Amino acid sequence: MKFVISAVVVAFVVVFQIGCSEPSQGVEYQDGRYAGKPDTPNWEGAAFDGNRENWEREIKRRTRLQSEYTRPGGA
Amino acid sequence: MARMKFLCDAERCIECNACVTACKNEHEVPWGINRRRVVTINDGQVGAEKSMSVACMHCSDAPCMAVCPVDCFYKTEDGVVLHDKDLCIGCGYCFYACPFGAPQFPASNASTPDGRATDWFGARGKMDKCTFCAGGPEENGSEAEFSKYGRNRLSEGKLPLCAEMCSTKALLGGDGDILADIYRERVTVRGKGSEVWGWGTAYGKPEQQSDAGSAGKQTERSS
Amino acid sequence: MVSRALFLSVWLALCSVAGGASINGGAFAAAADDSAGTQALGQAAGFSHPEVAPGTCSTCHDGMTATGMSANHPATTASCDTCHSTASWIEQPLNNAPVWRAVRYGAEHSTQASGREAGVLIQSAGETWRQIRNGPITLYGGLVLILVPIAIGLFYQWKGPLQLHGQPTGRLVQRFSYWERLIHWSVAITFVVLAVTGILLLFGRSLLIPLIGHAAFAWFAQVAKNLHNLVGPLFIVSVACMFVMFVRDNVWHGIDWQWLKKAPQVLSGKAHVPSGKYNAAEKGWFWGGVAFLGLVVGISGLILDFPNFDQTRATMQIANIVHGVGALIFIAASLGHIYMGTIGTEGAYQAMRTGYVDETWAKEHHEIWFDEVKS
Repeated sequence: MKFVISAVVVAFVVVFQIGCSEPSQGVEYQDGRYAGKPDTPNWEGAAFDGNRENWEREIKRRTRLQSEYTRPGGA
Repeated sequence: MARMKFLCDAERCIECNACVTACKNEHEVPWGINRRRVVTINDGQVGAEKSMSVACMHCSDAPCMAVCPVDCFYKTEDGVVLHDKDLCIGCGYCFYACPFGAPQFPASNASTPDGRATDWFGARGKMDKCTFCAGGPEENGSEAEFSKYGRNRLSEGKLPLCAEMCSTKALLGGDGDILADIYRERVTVRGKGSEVWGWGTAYGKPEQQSDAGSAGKQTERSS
Repeated sequence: MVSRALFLSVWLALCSVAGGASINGGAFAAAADDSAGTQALGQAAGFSHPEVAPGTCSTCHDGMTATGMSANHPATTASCDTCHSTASWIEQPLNNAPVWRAVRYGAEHSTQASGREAGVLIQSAGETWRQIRNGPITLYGGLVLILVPIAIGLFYQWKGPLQLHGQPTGRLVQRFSYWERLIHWSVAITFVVLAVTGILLLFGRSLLIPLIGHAAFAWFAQVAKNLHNLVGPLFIVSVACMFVMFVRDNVWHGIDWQWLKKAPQVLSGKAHVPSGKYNAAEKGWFWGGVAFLGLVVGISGLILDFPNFDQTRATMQIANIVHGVGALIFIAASLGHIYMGTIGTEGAYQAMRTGYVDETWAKEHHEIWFDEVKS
């Protein structure tokens, strides 16, 4: 009987875990580092050779280029 | 860290469909797959017509990720929602859940020019969607990555082609903070767009038309 | 907390289903509103609109006194002047908010892209579907799938199998013909395949991925999906055959009410109510399970299995929820049937396996049927 009761309790806990907890859809981090599924970061590769700061600077520069008010030579 | 976002300015989009074409060409997507499409609201009604380019919006709380039975999605550090085609089983749940109709399925969506499905059993192939030009789990810029997900422009320091080549700069893509700055500047220059706060309802038309910040002008001033 | 979330999500689902359905068929709402509004202004030229108090438009604009909401207007309880004004019905200058609000109702707009619902900019019902599937269906479905076997196990421990009171005579009576058994096992085998693959697709992500990893589970899930899609139509055909073949002996008779009234005593072997070829519980399983749930799961399954008829996402979301709820109830109920047909009743499994039962078994379980066979 004890076994049955504990089985029921365990089953309840497991089921409520499954049913209630939809995992978060955000970026997964652990100890401040990316911990999601393995994928090569964008800054790894021929163009940036692992230099993350350079990559971010380049992306931000290109994002800004989309504003014709501020881009060099823009009206 | 940059959070990648798309923003489409409906005041500027002229429904030229160049973003759609550029995307198809850049990624060499199969026939019938539309990673991006342009939707026109109130088509033909003068003054009320608005166009909007839409693709995967790379949501923060992505419904596709939440319902995928094989958990094939992941989010990169730049906030881009990507998926692993080796895991995808083509169940179509992400298509049910997505608000924007972004997920595409090659088998059942491969259609004749008049839009009918060509295969009768309707088995879906592996899902395909906009990758924010960031490829997939394969090595950056590799042949395998290109054939499954298309070009990886982000790893080359470039932004999504649809946004970068948009002629009216209606479609913007890139670091969300900078996009917000660009759009805020546009709203200021236009003297229009404050309707998002409901001012149009509260204050109506300006009583006096003056040059500075005159509302309702069709063209933006570029001082 | 959990039940509140359930009620909320079901309520939201009903709202969005009702709202969505009324819009999908029509053209974009604003077009109709425009002409209606202009007309109303023209007719009521003598009426001084500026004196109308805010929020009271609908006291006249109710569709009787003056033009009201058109048939394809997005469902709303908000006052008219939230979006419209007297001076300009469709378009307030500078105010695009009504346009974007209308987009949320999933109307089909114009687009050059081909494909199903390509003109829909935003469909909000997907989020509701996600909340129902990832919420109540997984939660209560999982609960049922665990509690029912536990209850059956407890019952078995408490009472044990139903045994014959008398001695077997050794004389056999045929209970099921070859064709009846063939159909029964076709239904049974396809049902089990569908149940196992369906459970794998609903709960596998939470249960199996942590154990065997993404790649291995994706392989299983791929096999499960294809099996489920291919076996589903076979199940429907088998169920249709079963209905035709078994319906004659499952017609409800007065004696079945007596059986139902005494069901607890009958099941624990304390009382005896004679029954025909099938008793009330078996008939309940036939009508409620095979016929009704078979129909529910079958139709919703076909809608999902053959997405080639331009079903909208709203249709498939509803079909998916109906399919999930129906299938989980079906599986839970089938566990009771499987129990009674195997370890729960002595001799029952042999009856469906070989087709023959002992005369004592026939007399004790299905007396009326036995008398008919003997006479």
